[in-house]
Amino acid sequence: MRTSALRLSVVYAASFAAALVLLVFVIYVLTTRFINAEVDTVIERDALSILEAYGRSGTRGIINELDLRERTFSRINAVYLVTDAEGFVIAGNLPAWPVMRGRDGRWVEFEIELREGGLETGRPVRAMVLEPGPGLRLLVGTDLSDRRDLGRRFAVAAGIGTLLVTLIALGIGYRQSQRILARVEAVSRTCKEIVGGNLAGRLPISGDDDEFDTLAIEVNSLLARLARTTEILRTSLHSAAHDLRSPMHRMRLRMEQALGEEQATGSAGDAATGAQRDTLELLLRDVDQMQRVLTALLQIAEAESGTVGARPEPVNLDVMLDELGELYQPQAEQQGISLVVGCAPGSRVLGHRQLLAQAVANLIDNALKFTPSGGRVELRTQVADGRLAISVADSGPGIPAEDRTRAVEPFVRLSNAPPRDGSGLGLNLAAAVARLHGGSLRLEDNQPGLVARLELPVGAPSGATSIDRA
Amino acid sequence: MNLLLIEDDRDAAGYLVKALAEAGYQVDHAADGRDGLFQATEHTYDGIVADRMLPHLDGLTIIEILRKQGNRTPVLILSALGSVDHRVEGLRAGGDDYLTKPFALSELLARIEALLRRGQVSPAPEMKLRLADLEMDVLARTVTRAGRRIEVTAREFKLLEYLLRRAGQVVTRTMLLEGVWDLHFDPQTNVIDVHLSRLRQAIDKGFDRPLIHTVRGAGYTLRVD
Repeated sequence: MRTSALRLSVVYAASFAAALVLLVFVIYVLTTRFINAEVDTVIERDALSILEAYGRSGTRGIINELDLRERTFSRINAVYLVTDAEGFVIAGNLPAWPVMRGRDGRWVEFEIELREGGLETGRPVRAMVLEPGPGLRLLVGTDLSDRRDLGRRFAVAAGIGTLLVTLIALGIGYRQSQRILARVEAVSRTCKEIVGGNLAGRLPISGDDDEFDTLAIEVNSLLARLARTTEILRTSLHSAAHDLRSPMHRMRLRMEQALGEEQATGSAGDAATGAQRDTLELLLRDVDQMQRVLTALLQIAEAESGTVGARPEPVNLDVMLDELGELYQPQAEQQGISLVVGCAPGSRVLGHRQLLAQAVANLIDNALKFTPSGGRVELRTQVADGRLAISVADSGPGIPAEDRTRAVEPFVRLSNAPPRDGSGLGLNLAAAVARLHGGSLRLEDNQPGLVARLELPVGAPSGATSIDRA
Repeated sequence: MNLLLIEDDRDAAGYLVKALAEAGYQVDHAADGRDGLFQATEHTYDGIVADRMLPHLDGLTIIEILRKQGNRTPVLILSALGSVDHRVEGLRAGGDDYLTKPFALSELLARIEALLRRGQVSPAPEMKLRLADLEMDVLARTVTRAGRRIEVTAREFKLLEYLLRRAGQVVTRTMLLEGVWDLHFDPQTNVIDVHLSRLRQAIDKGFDRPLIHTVRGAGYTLRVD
């Protein structure tokens, strides 16, 4: 998050600084152009008045005119020079005709070397060269060093200013983006907790009455509704469980009671009471079957709706899978199936141990049920891309491709035939448990056979926050 | 042994009282939570079987009040709420065992028996267990029968230890799954039976008197015939 805040503020400050530099540059160019034009106008006007003086009284007129300027407050930084046909200086404040650096028609530019306090300095001059009469050369110019200094000062000031403003922008930007990111993080943390089943979590409201608060209030009201709906669902599931189990309980007790009386009073070998016994025992088996289906349905409903009350806790999957493998090993051997367990050590997820164990047990149970004697069932784990996959692969007949996705959807059954033992909902429950943990159950072709792949995120969604609080 | 049954379902309670009496228990019945709490406080029982949802005062509250009073009578909770969470809630409230309705009477009787025995066991568990000529040293992790060393897997050892500590009692499949594997669901197949038949191979094969017995419709028991 920190690096993200820094990156954001650097990007903002950099774009801000770039805009500022552009602005200063444009101002600089426009101002320089204006000042340059002003310099040229002044020189032109000055030159004109000198030419006028020449027109009135010839070379003498120019000398008088320049002399007058030297004695009065004429324009500042003015540079003059008049030379005759031989190149001798007639008048002006330059010692000799300068070496030109640039020429553009009448306009020239050069530097005057001056000694100022023992230092050689060059002063740039812009000037106009005219030939008022035959052999006569007149130079009217302006010392530009003030303007040059102004430009330098402007550049320095602009540089320091831009730097300061950029630093301030960087600081403010960093603080702002940190604040924004902190709030975004708070939102995402709360959302993660809520996904993990803590519907009591609410987004923090800063009281600044900004867009974030508006968003938080909206999301919170949504959460409140969700929590209410979930609570209603939880209550109805429980009352359904209670209302169905209580009569089943009485039913089972009555049957056992009747069976007990039968045992006490009925004489052995009596055909009629024997038939009644068989009926009662079949009924008992039906009640047990009903209970198994009911329990599985309720578990699926709880897992799918996220109404599992307990907090997730760290589960050592490799230990759990080894134990489950060991639990089913004797049965596999009895069926003539080789059950191979290969789990990467140290795979931990946050979750509900009993539900995960039951999900995997259902997958193993399913694999053993459909694998013929001499076959092979493999229980393995793999970690890739932050997801942990528990795979149960068998060498049985498999499931046709078109049925594989359907088989793991809630409450979907592939065959309408009643299950012989178990609830017949083993795969559905495993899929529901996977979804509860933010994962998925996928059925794939094992060529031949079926691979059930239960994928779980390694740092499960509800994350460390749940442990911290526990 | 006298028991208190707190159950508001009168029909179910009638059958249960009868079945428990047939099993040799003296049973008092309370039909609601308040009455149940009064009886549990006034008399001393060896065990309490309490329904979870009761009028006036629910089963978990009764247990919490009893425990706060220092009453350590073992309590078996009966409930129509059967998820793992509900079970955890029940045990956290101070219940000693949790049974989801509907259940087989044999399951109830086995669990009550286990509960009452547990109440009598000394706080420091035995480290040398013995039944007839079968001996187990829990610390050294050895099993011998008639002086002959028997090799068992770690799980078979745990299974045998569980049975030995409850020798003479009926132990159901779900009790074994809970006690030995810490799994609280119905595996829907006969996985436990296969484990028991393996253990039987290891312990009883080649000996005249079998120690592991199957109790029809209930589970297993370890005893000398």
